[in-house]
Amino acid sequence: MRDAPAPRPGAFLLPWPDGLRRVRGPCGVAWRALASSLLGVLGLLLAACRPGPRADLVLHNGREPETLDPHLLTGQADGRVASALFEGLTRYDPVTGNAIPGLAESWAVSSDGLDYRFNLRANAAWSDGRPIVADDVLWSFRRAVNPLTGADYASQYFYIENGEALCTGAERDLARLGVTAPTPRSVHVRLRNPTPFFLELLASRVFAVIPREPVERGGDRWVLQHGLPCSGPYTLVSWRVNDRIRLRRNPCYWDAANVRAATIDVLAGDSAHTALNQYLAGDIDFILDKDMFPPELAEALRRRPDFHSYTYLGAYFIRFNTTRKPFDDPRVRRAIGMAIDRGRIVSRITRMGEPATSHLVPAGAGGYQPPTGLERDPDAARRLLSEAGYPGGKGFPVFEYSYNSEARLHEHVAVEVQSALRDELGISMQLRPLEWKTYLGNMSRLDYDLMRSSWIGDYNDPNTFLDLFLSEGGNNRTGWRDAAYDVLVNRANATLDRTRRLALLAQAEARLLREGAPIIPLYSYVGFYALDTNRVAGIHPNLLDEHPFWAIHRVAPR
Amino acid sequence: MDARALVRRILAIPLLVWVVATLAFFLMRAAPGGPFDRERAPASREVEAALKARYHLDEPLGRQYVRYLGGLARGDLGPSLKYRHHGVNEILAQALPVSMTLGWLAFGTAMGLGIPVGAAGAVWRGRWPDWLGTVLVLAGACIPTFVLAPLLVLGLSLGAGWFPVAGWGSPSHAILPVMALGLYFAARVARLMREGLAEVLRSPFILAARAKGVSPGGILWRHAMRPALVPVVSYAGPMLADLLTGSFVVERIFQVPGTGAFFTNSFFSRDYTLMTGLVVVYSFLLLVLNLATDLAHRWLDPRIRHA
Amino acid sequence: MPEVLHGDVRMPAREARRRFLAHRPATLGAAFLLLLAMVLVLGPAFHGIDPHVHSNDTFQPPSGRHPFGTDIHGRDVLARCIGGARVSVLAGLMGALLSVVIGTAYGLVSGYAGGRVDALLMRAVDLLHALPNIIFVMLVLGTAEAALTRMLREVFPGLAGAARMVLMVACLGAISWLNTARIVRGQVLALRARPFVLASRLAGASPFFILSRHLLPNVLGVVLAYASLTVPSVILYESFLSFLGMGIRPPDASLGTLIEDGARQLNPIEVRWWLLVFPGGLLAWTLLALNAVADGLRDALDPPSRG
Repeated sequence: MRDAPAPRPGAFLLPWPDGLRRVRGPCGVAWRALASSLLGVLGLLLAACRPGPRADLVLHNGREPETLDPHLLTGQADGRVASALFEGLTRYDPVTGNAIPGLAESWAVSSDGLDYRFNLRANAAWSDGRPIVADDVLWSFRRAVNPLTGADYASQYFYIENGEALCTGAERDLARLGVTAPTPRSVHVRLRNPTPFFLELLASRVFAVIPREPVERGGDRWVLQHGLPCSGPYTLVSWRVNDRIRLRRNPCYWDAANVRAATIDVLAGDSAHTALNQYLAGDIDFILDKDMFPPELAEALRRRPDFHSYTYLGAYFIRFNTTRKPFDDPRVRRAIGMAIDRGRIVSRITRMGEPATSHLVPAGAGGYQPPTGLERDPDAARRLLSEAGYPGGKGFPVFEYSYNSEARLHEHVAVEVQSALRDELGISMQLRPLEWKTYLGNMSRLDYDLMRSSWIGDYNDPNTFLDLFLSEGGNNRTGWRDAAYDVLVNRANATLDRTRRLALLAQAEARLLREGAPIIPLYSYVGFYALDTNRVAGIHPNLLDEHPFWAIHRVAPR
Repeated sequence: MDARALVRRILAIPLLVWVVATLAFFLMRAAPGGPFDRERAPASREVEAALKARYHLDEPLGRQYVRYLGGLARGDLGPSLKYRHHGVNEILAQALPVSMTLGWLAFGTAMGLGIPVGAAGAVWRGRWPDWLGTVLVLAGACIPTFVLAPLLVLGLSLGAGWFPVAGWGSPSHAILPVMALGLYFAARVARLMREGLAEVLRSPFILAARAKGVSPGGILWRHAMRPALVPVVSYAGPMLADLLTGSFVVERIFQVPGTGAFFTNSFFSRDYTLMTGLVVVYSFLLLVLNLATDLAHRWLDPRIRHA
Repeated sequence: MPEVLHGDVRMPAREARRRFLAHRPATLGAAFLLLLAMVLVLGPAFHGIDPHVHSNDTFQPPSGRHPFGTDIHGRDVLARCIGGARVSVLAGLMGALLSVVIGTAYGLVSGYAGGRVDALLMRAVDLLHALPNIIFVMLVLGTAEAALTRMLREVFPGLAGAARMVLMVACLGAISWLNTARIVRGQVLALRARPFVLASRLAGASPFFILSRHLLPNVLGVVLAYASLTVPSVILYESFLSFLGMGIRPPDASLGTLIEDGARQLNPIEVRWWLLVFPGGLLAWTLLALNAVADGLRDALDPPSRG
């Protein structure tokens, strides 16, 4: 705990006497805790009601982040905080969510769309004052793509030349990554294919620039080092697990003048009801996480002026295991898809104003017009099912619908699907609630019949959804393989002309939804945040659900 | 219990902790899924392999176990697999004092409320104090904490504005969680106390004392109270161990940064090291407190001999 | 209870019945339980609405058509409460019975044997207690459930659903007997030094005779008192098992899952009280009745005046 930014056992707790400190080992931990808790009871009784100094902004960020290492993190809550600490060549626009200049002040793209040349800002600096140079960018990118780092999102480097080869170990020399530093203030990136969304990718966490020396020295605990140099608008002051993270404005940040709040407290918690109570009591200024809204209150909250909903790139859908009978028959899958009543699910169950969609890609992703998939048509569904050999559902085996049980919403959706299939098709589906890791394990092992699924887009382009179902895609997880689909998606991604590319992608999606139907999309996600616009400003709805902290500020005193 | 037996009991504690840690270590790994299974598939097999290698999860189970025991012997519970920057020791050092503070206060509440209520029920059996106590007991037993806690918040914080809604850091933050946690255990203590005392009041030596002309108060305080506490004390050991290591529901609802949430969540996230670390600490506390319970038994009822 | 203090000689069974019937709360409780049992056995036939039928009347407050209102799917809450109470009453009673039987037998043997046997048995209880329930439950889930269901599906397809119930009750009972064992053992340690036990032993009574005739009746009061609290905790713990995917399977419900659902209504924005009040009230009344009956039974069989 030497390097940690003073994680004290609680403001009111007394420090441990030195004699107790010497008791070592896990039992020592227990002894010390026992002793300090007794002291704590005392302290609690003696201490006056002394509220600590409140940060300029107090926000609820949802679950406790697992890591703030921008290359390793996978959760949205982790990403929001990490983005405040570390920046990449581009960053997200707080209003639109599009990529705007970050550490790079400008760039030039070659006409074939393969070469990007970025010019770093002259005033880009770490929070300890040292300048951020092209070598820092190079080192960060190479670290992220190095398989030994263990970055789940390293797949975003596959768009860069040799990125995939390095990540899969086919190529070992990290210097072969298509990123070079012609001068200390410029970075050159060469792509494998023209990638229209590359600038937005660069704003994502896995392309953030992190400080080499502390990372190499600090091991797993590097983020917790005292005085850690940060490249983003904030620095880390303290982190108490399951309680709060405190951030302070980085004075050396190139745009420090526009970083509005001097200190931010990022609260973590699991309970949506608690978050709401804290907001209503004024203990927190705003809630950023969509999961921190009790779904049963969706309608009532939407009527309030301080609750804001907006669509973003997320899709809720059902996967079929196409390697299992009878779901290896596309007619069966289509029949099930056409029997479900999406309208009822969004109007009665989710009730946040989600658009019920028969397509996977949410409308509006990168100017894309998604095709219509299988709309509700119970008569056609019954016909298809009898063509497949199950007239009136006769002889259809009992099968299971698996879902993760920790969110009640999934159970409600499952119960609706079950009732629709029973009433419309006469087939009997059992529900199989699973605990999270079992659910994930069963999904990747293809140990299910039907499974509740969802996907959040990583960047504003339909490809972030459509590349899931490529035959070799690691996230396919349906057993569905379709060569024609692969050809369409790959051809689209090699196409420079935007309209033509999007048309090819739409063709691919239509094939996915109507011919293969390994999935049934149910609805697109709606994001939600709670904030009184008369008190706090700087949060805007956008498709990527990105709300950088630096733009958020209070407009009226508490 | 003579001194030799006592020493044996104390020496057995590390051994038992080791057995529990071993069981937890292997059973955790028998559960499906692993710490690095996520919604998104890893970028490549190499990335996944590197992650596992970093935490030695690629080694044979036997070697992992030996490695873990080595750490345990040195007092190192290992790195958390979920909270990637934090060691298990550090998480426990932060969270345990919080849970324990809450636990002591709730223990005091449970005992302070449960024993008088239960005793009153036994003394005035079938009369109004007994019925009042029964109602309290049943309320404590059948109002689950996940109902009681939000009710307290709605009534006393959002409604009356007397206490903070959630959080930790001042005495006023502790009051509602202590109430929510204490009532549940107070109900059990009251129940055991009522039965224990009723049983004692029926026994011949009390009749003898009464025949001798000892006053009712004297009977209660001098003769009946101590043996009547035996069942309460039997229950107090495990109860205190549970209280000190935190409650999942209460800590979640009041956003108390203690260990309660980790017991369930570390299992859900297959955080093997954190889970095993918690089991080590919990079993240690339980064994110590049960030893204390057995010693208390002897003091309460001298007829008890553990030989 | 002055009315039972007459020392008149009657037939014990008749005497007991008279005492029970004189215990007004007990008779009222018994009447309520009888009524409940009838409703639960008759089930849907009593109410006439299928709990699985969805409608567009979602979240309707209580009305003539739906006396307990409707839920998010437009299902009738009364029908769901009846179904839920069937599951919960069965699971609660069976789980508590299991915990009483195992815990009492274990505690009796451990306390009476004393010495090394006692130490060994109690350390085993400590070990089981120290291992988190969740690991234990998961283990059962991972191994036994699939196998048992498959077996039942082949042999008696109609009973495939019962496999879950059996396992669920087994898990609940297995988790909750530990404290009972500890409490019983504490009582026995105190009892076995009493003159009547010594006398019986000197007279050559077998250990089984002493355990069943002398010790068991004397610990029964405390055991029943604790068991009456085990029923609700088992019922509520079942909702935690459901959360793990191990309890009752949706769309069926138990009182525990219904109450947990209802607890989500405790918020300052919009309270659909009927979702909590009816299932919660049903649980509370059932427990109150059970408790009154248990009290009456014990007074009838073992009147407080008998020394």
